[in-house]
Amino acid sequence: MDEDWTRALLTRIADDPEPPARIDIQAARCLGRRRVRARLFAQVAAGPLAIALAVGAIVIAPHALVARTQHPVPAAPAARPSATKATPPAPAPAKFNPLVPYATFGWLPSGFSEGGVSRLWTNPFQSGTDSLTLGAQDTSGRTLLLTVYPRGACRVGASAASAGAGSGLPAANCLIDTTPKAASRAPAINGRPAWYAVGEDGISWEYAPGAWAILDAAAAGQVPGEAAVPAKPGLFAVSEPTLRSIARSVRYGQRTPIVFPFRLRGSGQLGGALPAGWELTSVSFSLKGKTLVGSAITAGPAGDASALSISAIEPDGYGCKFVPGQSSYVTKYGVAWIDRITAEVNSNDEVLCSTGLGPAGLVHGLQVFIYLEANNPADKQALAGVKSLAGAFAVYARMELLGADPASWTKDPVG
Amino acid sequence: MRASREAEYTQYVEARLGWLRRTAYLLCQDWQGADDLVQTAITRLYTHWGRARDATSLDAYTRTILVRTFLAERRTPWARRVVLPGGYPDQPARSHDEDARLDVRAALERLPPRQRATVVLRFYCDLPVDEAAEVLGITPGTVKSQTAKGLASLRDALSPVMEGRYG
Repeated sequence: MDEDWTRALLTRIADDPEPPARIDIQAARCLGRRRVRARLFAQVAAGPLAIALAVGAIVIAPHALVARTQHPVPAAPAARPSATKATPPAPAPAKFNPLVPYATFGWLPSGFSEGGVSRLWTNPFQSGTDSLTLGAQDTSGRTLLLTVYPRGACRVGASAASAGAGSGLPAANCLIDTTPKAASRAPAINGRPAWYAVGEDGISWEYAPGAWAILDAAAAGQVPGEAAVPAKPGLFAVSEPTLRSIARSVRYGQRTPIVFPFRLRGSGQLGGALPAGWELTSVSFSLKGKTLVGSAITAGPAGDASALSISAIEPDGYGCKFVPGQSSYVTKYGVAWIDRITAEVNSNDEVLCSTGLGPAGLVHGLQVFIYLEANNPADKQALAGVKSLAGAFAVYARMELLGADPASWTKDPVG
Repeated sequence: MRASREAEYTQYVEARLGWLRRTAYLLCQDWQGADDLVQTAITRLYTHWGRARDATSLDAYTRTILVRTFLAERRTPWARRVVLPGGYPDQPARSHDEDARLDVRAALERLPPRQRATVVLRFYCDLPVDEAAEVLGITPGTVKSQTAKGLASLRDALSPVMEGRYG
């Protein structure tokens, strides 16, 4: 009866009198928020690789990559936009083009500039929910995140949590919770409804009929990657009037495409750059001068939109990390790689990165990361079409680096 | 994360805090370590909340984070990311029953971390072999062998206790 005996013993130990808990849920939320934000600013591969970077250890990948702090050049101070400047909103699209960001900041407070990596993505876990996230920082690391959703993507009203158990409300990826517990009415933004999140440093507003945007001001002292201590709550990046001014000035309907210094060529076997049924789902980009420079793409089939992530970035002194016992050095195609930079990724997944060290660790001056999932993390089933990619090295073999001249770059990285 | 999702997260963690602490206590064998482990695990849960809330079983997802966090901390000289302030007051004098509990805890503590996690998952969380294997990221065969070794070690260490105090 070993098993029953063990069960009884464990239950008995677990029933030991508990001292008061020292667990701080608010601190977990605070630190978690910083990590989520950090991954948006990490200039590395999008999707799971970026998540690995932010979380640092167990679920996906420990210490796989280290982010660098972005220190964008501060924008020249501009006049605060007028509160009375309201124009009739054009209808928002029901779906965004991942290669052409729909919105841009119109005004930022002194010291802030658009920087880091912005992402346009399809939610990997709730297909069909697109969003565009733009980041801005100042030199001290204070962060602003603007997330714009297409028409119909957000549900406005009570969340399942706010409504209580048994409410029958489904979870929603974009939820503008307007219940008093979660939100308070904010002054209208360009004549349309807006809400502050209670206890949060953000504002949401309807920028066009049925289309919403959220501006989130991070706590001060944002640190990409791992942080040693939780952020001190209550230190927000900007004041409420400034938050509203930024919101009022956001410009929609932009048509400037992202250009990429790399392309994934098609293959005869695939009939294109990606397997049948896969599509480009996420793009990371940054603003350099007046050019939107793509640094990473993510693609996948329905249900696992981040199955493949590719990035090519300028080396920043960090990059991927060799983990003894888990990683191996490989030289292939004349490039020095670290293969399988962590064993914490699902065992059949591949994580490949050029070392970024010395000429052999760079490709045309860029550091390349490739992440390829074998199974859908949600249901552990083998991904349809993934075998036709023939592994991360085969993906790299089809990558075409387009040099340093933006004139030769492409608007279609999977064309 | 929007306020509504923060509320969902907070509601969930508050509701599961006792369960998480008890499981962490069995893994760590001390409350301070347990609280540190839970603090780290719920921080990670926050960063994965979008994925976690869509998981087939949110509890299973959370338990996986907890156990893997525990194993990672034991596997590597891991710099603690969250240090909770303060400690616990001195414990009252032990009773005879508490001595027995301490014997059991000491025996459990002597198990290697992965073996201990296997035993806890199988016999406290009541997970079948396949699910325990998934949480631990090892094969079902390894779970079986780790379980057998763990039980044997506990039996050897606690035979006198079992006969004299728990019998």
